Amino acid sequence: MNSNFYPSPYIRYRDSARTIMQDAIIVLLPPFLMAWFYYGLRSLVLGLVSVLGCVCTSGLFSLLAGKKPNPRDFSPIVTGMVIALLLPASVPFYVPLTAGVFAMGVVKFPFGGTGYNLFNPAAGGLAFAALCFPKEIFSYTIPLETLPIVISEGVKYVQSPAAIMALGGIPSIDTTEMLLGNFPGPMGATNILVIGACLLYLLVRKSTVWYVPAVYLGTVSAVAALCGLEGVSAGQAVVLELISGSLPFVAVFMLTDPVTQPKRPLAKVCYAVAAGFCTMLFRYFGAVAPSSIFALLLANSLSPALDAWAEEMAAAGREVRYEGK
Amino acid sequence: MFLKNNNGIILDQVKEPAFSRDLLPFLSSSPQGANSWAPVEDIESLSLKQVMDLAQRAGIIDENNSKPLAERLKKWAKTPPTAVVGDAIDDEPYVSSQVNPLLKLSQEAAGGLRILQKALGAPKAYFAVYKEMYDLNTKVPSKVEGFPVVKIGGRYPMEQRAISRLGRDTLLLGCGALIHLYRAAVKGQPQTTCFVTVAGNCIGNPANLEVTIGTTVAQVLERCGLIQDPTYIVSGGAMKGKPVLEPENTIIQVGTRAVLAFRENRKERQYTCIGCGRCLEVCPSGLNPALLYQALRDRRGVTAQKLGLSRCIGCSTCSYICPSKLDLSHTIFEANIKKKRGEENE
Repeated sequence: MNSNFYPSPYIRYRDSARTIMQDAIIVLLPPFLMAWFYYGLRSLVLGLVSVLGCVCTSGLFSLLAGKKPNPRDFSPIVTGMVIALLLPASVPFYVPLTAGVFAMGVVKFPFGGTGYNLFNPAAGGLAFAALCFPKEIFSYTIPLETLPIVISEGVKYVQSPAAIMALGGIPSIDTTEMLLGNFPGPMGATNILVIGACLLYLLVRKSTVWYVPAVYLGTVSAVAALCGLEGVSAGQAVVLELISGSLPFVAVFMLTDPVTQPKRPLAKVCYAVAAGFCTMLFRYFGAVAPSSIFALLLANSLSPALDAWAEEMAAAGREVRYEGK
Repeated sequence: MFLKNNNGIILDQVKEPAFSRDLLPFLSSSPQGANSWAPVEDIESLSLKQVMDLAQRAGIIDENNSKPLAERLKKWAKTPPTAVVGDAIDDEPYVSSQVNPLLKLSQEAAGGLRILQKALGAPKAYFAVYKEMYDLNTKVPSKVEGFPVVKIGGRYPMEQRAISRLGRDTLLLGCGALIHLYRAAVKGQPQTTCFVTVAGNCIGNPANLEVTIGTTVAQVLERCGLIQDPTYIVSGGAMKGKPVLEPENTIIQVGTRAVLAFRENRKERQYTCIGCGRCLEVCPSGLNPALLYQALRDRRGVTAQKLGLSRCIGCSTCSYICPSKLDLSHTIFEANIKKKRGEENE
């Protein structure tokens, strides 16, 4: 009879780090399908380029660090998909590639790779791309006009509602169309209903907690309702702010990234509030767009401090609970 | 919401078929210390002093914490508890070595509880059973020999937290100890046996056994039949149990609640922590196991202490849930034990 040493427990939960990343990939597929529907095959090719950029860079950096690339680590794929979905469908192929390489090579691996990065890699890559190629990133095409894979001259560019609002205007789009994503914007981030369904899936799979996106969107709505927009009611202002840009996408897919968000519930709430405030500050006063991406990066930098603070609060709570009795 | 104390997990209980099967005797022909004494005539007339003497003489040990029953009772001599509770909260998967004797030897278990209730003068007495068992073939009755059976619902780990749920002034005693107390009083027998669940995917006939203390783990496994070669043998439950490396040389003690034999591919790949925070969500002590693990791995003892190392109860919930399959609980609990030992030596 042989018996080997294994520490307890002897049963394990079925989820692993790989299945969590698989969930993220599954949940990012419907936005891609919608992008395909609105902009044609080019959106899928963009996604492929972005994913390939991330995967190859991460493999390269693993080799440089003297480790074997881990084929079970799906996180570069997720990063690549997020980057592509937040770009317009008409963007040249070098933009997602640059963003992906920057995300892996600067934001993720120098900090120690999967699980150690301080900032959300996709957000970092996008911020970099937005600063380098503002013209390419902020010129959107009209949905339902299928784009050729190689963009030549003659594509009509329009302004997104978010850009109109940043200039002080009021976009004249029907709310239903906005919910369906039928307005110019990032190719995967405009379909609010699809994103809502994805959030539902993530919640059911317990990949994320409900209150981070809820508090974030709540903060944004509160600020929008208080400050308002010129020429519309407070309610309309809230709706416009919430669904005009990439805000719901960021709230569901990027804010809830397990690595870069704080761990304690209390810290998570503060983090979401901070991200919401920063987003609105950038929208009202900032010169940078997309505001939610930069706000997310700022909130990411807060999360270690928030965690340390929440840990102290928890320790104090423990003292009360155990010593008080 | 942020300081709640009902964290934990709902586990698949996998208690069948051992749960519903009969309690089988597996007794050695010459039990040690078999000299018996005259049985008590009227068990309800025993005073606390007499019960403690009886427990002392019979060598009865509470299987919950492996402490002598007499010692546990000493604390309650001055202020009697408001309730005496027979603990049959088997919250770990596979284990049913407290509920099964409660149902199969209900007369003896209830007798033991009655002795204690009268001796301590406690107004209430009942049995406590874990509620979240969904795969059972038999129903747990709501009354056993006149005593109510309270079903305690909630997430694992429940047994370690039951006392805070039931109130600090209740006396929680293992069901096995109650049965042995009754036998000591009525039959004049010392405790020479204990109740053990034998289960796992290598066991041919999973069952609850009444085993003579001192039987080896190998003998117990043979009694129930191994159908395949186990990769590991565990003494105790699937969550908190300890590995048995030499089954031929390991004996069953009163604290041994189960012997499990598993054949499984444990070559699971460990990932790096992705910071999902699930360990933190489930930790019943409100710790941050991922941070603690990191601190211990980097040998930062003071930080670990600040993070509440000494509050770890070793329930293994964090390791169970961890998607990166890290040995969180093992690392943390071992460090905790080591530290406590160090303090005792000083």
